Amino acid sequence: MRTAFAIAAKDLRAEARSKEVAPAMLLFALALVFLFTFALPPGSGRAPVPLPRAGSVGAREIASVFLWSSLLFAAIVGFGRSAALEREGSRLDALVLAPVDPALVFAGKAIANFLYLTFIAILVFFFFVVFIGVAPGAILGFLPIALMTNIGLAVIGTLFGTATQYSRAKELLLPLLIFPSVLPPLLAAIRLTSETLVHGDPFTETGWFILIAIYDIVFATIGAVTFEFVIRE
Amino acid sequence: MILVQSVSKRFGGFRALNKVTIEIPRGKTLVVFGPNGAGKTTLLRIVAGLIRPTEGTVFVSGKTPMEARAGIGYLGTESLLYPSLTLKENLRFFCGLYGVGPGEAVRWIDQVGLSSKSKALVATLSRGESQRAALARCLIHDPDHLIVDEPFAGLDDASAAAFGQLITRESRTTIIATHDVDRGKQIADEIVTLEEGRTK
Ligand SMILES: Nc1ncnc2c1ncn2[C@@H]1O[C@H](COP(=O)(O)OP(=O)(O)OP(=O)(O)O)[C@@H](O)[C@H]1O
Ligand SMILES: [Mg+2]
Repeated sequence: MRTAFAIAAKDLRAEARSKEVAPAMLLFALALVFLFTFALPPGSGRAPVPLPRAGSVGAREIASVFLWSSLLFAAIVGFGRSAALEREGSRLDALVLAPVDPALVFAGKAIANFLYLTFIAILVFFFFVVFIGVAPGAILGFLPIALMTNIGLAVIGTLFGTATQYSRAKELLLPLLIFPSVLPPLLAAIRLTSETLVHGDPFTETGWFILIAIYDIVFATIGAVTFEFVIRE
Repeated sequence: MILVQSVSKRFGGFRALNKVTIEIPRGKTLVVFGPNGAGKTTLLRIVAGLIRPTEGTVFVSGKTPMEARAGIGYLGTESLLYPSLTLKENLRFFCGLYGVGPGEAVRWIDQVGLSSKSKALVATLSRGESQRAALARCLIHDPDHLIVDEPFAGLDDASAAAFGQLITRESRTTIIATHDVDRGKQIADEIVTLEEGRTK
C-alpha cells in the first residue's frame, strides 16, 4: 500500500505544480453556481419553500443538480489529465517496468483522483453556502455523500481514463464511457444532497447510500483486477 | 543470462521481427546495430517485457521478463520522468517503486553528474541532461540486466564516454542498441546486426 500512496502523492504533487486543472474547474463551478442563482426569483434560495406543492421546487432542491454537474465536469477533465500524465512521454512504461502490482498503481491513481475531487467538492459546496444561503453546517451532511460518491467516480474515472488514453478518440470516448457508468451513483448523490440542503440530514434515505456503496465496491474490484490488462499491451 | 528464442513480432500485417534468436551469457554486453526501422527498439522492448512477442519466448535469468522485472533496467528513447517534478523527487519516486532506500536517489544524481540540477524541474533539463537523468532512473535499483536503446543520442563526447563506464559493471548482462559504431564496438563483447527484422 506504500506504493499506492507514493503514486498518489506523485500525481497530486504534479497537479499542484502544474495547476492545469483545478483552478479552471473551480472557476467553472463558480460561474455555474453564480448563473444558477440568476435564473431564480430573488430570495428564493434563502426562503424555505413553505408548502411543497406539485410544480413548486425550492432553489435548494435543484441546487444539488448544479453542484453535481460541475463536479462531474471537473471529474472528467481531471481524469483525462491524470491519465495523460502517464501517457505523455510513454511514462506508463516506467510503471509497467517497475516491480509493483498493477492493482496498487490503480489504487494510487484512484486515491489521487479521489482527493482531487473531494477538494473541488468542498470548495464548490462553499460557493453554494455563499450564493444560495445554505447553512455552513450542512457540510456535515454533504461530506459523507461526497466522500462515498467520489470513491465511485474516482475508480470509474481512473479505469476508463487510462483505458481510453491510447485511443485516437479519447476525448470522446472517456465521457461516453463515464456518463452511463456514473449515472446511478450520481442520481443517488443528487437525491441525497437535495435532502441535505433542504432538511440538513442525508441519512433519511439510506437506500441511496447502499446503492452508491455497491457501485464503489463493484468498480473498485473491476479496476483492481483488470488494470493489469489496461496498462500492459 | 538473456535468452531470445526465435522471437517474431508482427504489427498488423507488418513483420518487425522475424525469428530472432540471441543468447547473451551472464555479465556480457551485446551491441545491436542496424539501420532505422530494423527492429532494434522492438527487440529491446520485448526483452524488457514492455511488449509481448507474437511468437517465440524470452528468458531473463530463466524467468519471463515480467517476472524478472525487479532485476531489469530499461532505458528507452524517452526519459520516463515526470516533467513537473524535480529530478530528486522523480528519482525518489522510483526508489520507492523499486524498494530501494531514498539515499540511492542522491547517490545516482551524483554519479551521473547532475548534483547541481537535483532541485530543478525535469522539464527544464537539456536533452543530454535528461538522458543522464534517465540513466540514473534505470540504474537506481542496480539491475543485473540492463537494456538500453541509443544511450549516446544527445550526449557530448565526454558524457558518452562516462555513460559507457556507468552502464557496464561486473556480472551485469547488457543489451545496447546504437548507431554509434565506434563506441558500440568498444564496449561490446558480442555484436549483432539486425536488418528488416532478421539477424545477420
Ligand atoms: N507499435 C507499432 N505499430 C506498428 N509498427 C511499428 C510499431 N513499432 C514499430 N513498428 C515498426 O517496426 C519497424 C521496426 O521498428 P523499431 O522501432 O524496432 O526500429 P529501430 O531499429 O529501433 O529503428 P531506429 O534505428 O530508427 O530506432 C519499423 O518499421 C516500425 O515502423
Ligand atoms: Mg529505435
